[in-house]
Amino acid sequence: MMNSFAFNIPFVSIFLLMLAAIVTPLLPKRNRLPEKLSCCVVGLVAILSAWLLYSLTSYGQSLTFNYSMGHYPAPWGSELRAGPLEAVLALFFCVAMLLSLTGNFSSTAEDIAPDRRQIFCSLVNLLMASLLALTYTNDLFTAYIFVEINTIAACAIVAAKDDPEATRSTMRYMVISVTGSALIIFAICLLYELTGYLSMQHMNGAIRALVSAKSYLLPLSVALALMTVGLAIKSALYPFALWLPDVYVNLTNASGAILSGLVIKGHIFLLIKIFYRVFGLDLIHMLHMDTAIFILGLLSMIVGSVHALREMNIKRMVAWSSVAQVGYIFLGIGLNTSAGIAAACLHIIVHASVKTMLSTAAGGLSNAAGHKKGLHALMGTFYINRWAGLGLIAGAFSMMGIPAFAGFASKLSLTMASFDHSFIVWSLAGLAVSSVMNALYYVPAVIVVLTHNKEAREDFTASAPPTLYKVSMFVFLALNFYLGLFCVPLLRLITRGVNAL
Amino acid sequence: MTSNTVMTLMPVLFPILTGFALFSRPIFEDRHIYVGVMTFATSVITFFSAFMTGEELITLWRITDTLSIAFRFDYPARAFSCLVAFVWPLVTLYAFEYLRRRPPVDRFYAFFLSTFGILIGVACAGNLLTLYLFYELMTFMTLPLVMHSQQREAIRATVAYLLYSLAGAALALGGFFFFQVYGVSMEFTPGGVLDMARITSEDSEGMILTVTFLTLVGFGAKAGLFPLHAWLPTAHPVAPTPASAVLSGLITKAGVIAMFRVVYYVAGADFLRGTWVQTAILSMALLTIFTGSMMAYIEKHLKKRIAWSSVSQVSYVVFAMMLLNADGISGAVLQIAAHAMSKSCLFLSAGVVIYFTLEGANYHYADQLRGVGKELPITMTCFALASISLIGLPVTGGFTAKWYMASGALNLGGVGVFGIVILMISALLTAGYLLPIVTDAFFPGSDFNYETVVPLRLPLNMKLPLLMLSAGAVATGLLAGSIISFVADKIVSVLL
Amino acid sequence: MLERLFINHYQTAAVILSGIGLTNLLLQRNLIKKIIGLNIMNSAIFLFLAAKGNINPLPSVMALAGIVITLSLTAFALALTLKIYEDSGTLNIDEALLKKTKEQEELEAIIEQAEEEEIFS
Repeated sequence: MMNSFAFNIPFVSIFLLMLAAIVTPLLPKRNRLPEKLSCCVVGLVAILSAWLLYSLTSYGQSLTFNYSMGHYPAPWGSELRAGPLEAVLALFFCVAMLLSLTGNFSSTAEDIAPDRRQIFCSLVNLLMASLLALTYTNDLFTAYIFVEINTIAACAIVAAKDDPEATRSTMRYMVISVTGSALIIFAICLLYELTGYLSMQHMNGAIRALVSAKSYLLPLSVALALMTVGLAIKSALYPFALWLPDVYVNLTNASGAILSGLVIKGHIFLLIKIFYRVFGLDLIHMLHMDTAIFILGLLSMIVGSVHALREMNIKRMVAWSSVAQVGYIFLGIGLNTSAGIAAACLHIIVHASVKTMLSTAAGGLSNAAGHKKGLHALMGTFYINRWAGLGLIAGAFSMMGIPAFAGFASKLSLTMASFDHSFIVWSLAGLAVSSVMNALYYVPAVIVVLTHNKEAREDFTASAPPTLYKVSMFVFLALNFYLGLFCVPLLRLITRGVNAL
Repeated sequence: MTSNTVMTLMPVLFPILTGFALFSRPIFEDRHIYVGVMTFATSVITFFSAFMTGEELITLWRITDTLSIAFRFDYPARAFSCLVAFVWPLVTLYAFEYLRRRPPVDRFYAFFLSTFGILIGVACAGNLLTLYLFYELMTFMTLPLVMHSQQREAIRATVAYLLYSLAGAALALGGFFFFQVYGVSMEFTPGGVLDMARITSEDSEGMILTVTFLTLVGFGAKAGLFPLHAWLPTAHPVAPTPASAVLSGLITKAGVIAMFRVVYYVAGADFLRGTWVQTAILSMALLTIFTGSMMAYIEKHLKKRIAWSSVSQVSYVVFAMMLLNADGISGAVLQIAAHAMSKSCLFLSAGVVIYFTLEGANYHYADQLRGVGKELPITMTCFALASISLIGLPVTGGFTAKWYMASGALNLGGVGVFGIVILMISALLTAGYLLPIVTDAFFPGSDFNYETVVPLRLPLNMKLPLLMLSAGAVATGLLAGSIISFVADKIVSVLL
Repeated sequence: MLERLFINHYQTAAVILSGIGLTNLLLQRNLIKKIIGLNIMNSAIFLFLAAKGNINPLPSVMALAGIVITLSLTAFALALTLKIYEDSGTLNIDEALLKKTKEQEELEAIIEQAEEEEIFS
């Protein structure tokens, strides 16, 4: 049987992170203590999540449990729920977060003033807490609260770099983000009016009753549409993603990695959970939401790549590429089968680790070129920061779906999931076109970075990257190859998790 | 780790790793020694592995139960590896001299050496996934070679090359997914891997045929097969000459090898024989042969002319291979060898002309070669020998290849007979676009001012590769009998 | 249809109000008006929750949490507005965005450079 402490891990991880968020502003600023503390806490939570994952899966049959917070039982009190899927996502989120913090440890110090850095750490912890809460939540009330916390924390992280451009980007991001959360809360209210519950299972029961009575189908579909659009705005799906590149370009490297690698993913997973646990896949299919999501995903894959192709700024390029990658995830969700959703979850993990690596690498290269972001300015930066260069190459190969790199695993599982599905031709064509386009913008970037440029090198100010950067990049690379080469056990685990959802 | 494992993996991994070592801080001040030694070592290892390794499937990495990265030195792999190991050091030797005037050399040598390993990886891939992986890697490794000069023209050509190759690879990847679902295993098996129990209805058979066709078209991009051929005549000429030589001579063949694997080892010759796929690929090859020769005939730019000639000549191999009979395979094997040697030789001699006469420019027009034969007699003699082999005059490699091809085509009948007509026309056109260059070079006419001619001293670095390659092009014809009994017959006995 | 809207007039009003709020949030160019739009939208949601008027604690808790969140969002947005006003001297977001960014300057420099190279080559 499971160790009884393991049951508390979901709550303890969220609690620890929130505690750290409160404590960090009170710590002395010297020696960058607050930042070290938040790295440690995220690391600790990663270890706890690994423990939870181990406990949940090591007893043959995979186990899920509900954990009620406070003294009220399920329909009223808020609940957390942990299964293998939640645990594995929490683990990878923590690892990616930790690596993007340590990898950008020195560039954060360059970009953000010391007294703001303290607040920055506090907000990063808060953001991580909200991400984990979105992963573990079992009722829409908790989901709503943490979506909002996530919004505020993410906005503040965008604003961390104290310059006018960052402030303006924050304002834009905030307007979009608030719109998204307003739609989400409206959907939650509507669902509450219809069902009388906020807890996911109870809602699901009530919705099933409504559907079998064929009543209130219109309000139900309105609620579903509002929820989907709200979460799609937050997760940068194409028509709602026009904000991402403008915001992303002004971020400090750590925020960039966190925003495009992690914040987006929390909302996508919430959407998956709501689809699977609140509405149920049958109802999603009945209301044609799967087709809509599939089409949007396909559109996102293509249009995101087209935009990335036209960018000359490496950070914008990476941002548009995120839009394309989010499209892959939604493509998987749009297949509306458990295999499709498992593939989507695998891609969430793959993209969370690859995109944080790419952002860290792009940041490292742009710092090596003296904080320039134009692709031309990056010529020859490989020879200054080889680790960043390697990160960019591995990330690019991963995005193109070269076998043995992380991206291939998710592409393979997406394709396998779309066999025996009526959308197969579309999804194969979309994957093919999008991979080709990924290559078309990543390969020139890689070549530019690899090109020797003796004249430009004299302008470069940066020296060799710090050891912490090298170590983080090494772990990133290892993670990338792990996902590419050992994806089968992971996919099996995810499939078990999805079935237990 | 048995010795077999080491011997199978070494030719692939050694050059890739030593190539990338060039990106680290200098170990040797003189890169030529390092590159030279490593290339030579790779060749020796490759020959050694090709002759000594057993036909065992060596799995480097198992990704899932059915997917793995695996290599096997079977007969086609051995033969092609030997060919690569013969040509590559010669071209590298040539590059030492040629690239003195075209920096940056480090990047060039790094990718050039790695491409050697990757090409061998393509040849000895043990399953479709490995083939796809190395096929993609080959595209990325050769990109920096194409855009070496970093001028606008080169970059434009690189983008075209990337686009076509990736579009082709994407088609192939789609095919790969289908074969994974409809095949019993992914390992290359003579006779194909398709699970006939699953292909029962007309519909599913039609679907698999379509998928095979698309996969072949995809891999055909590298071989310059219509309709994905347009990149080749722009990308090959802009690369520095040593790179053009291997791109045209060997890397196009990698596309053919990939098609060969799909036809004989994945879909199976029996499955494809007599279907519309065979007819379609044969017709596309014929169309490419004809248009390639025609365009080469019209083209004035020397390197572009040679590149167009590659488009046409590589499609001979595709044509021969798709005949799906023993003579066809023999013809394909001979044509691969003959064309690899003669095309490399043509590019290298063109490079010598460019190197000596127009410094700093990377192009030269065919009609500017009047009287060059007096200045560079050895080079132009080699050029002439290679041309003769390419045209297919008796005794040379090209002739025997076409002989077997024609007899295979006669056996097939139908499109095959029509093919023989096209082969004849194309041979005439080939003579038409290559021989005038040779005659102009040696016999510039009475109005030519012989007094300005100063015979140029050809460095040994350049002389040796030219002589070896032109000798090889002729020898392929002289030794055709033994090539067929040692290589083609072995392949045929396994496949048909 | 109309009849139903009339019966649920609280909900109808809430939806209309939140629509007004959303439109203001997205389309107003003045930052203060945007923030007012945000408040209208969130208040409409509380109206929607309160309309049912039952004694179940859940909607009350949600409304309470929503009020706190709206408050903090408003405060944050106002702080940002203040900063933007200090930087650019305007509350209009379009005018604020008109100021050239570093990124654009860098891009222009690159284009200029590329053009020069073209002339010389």
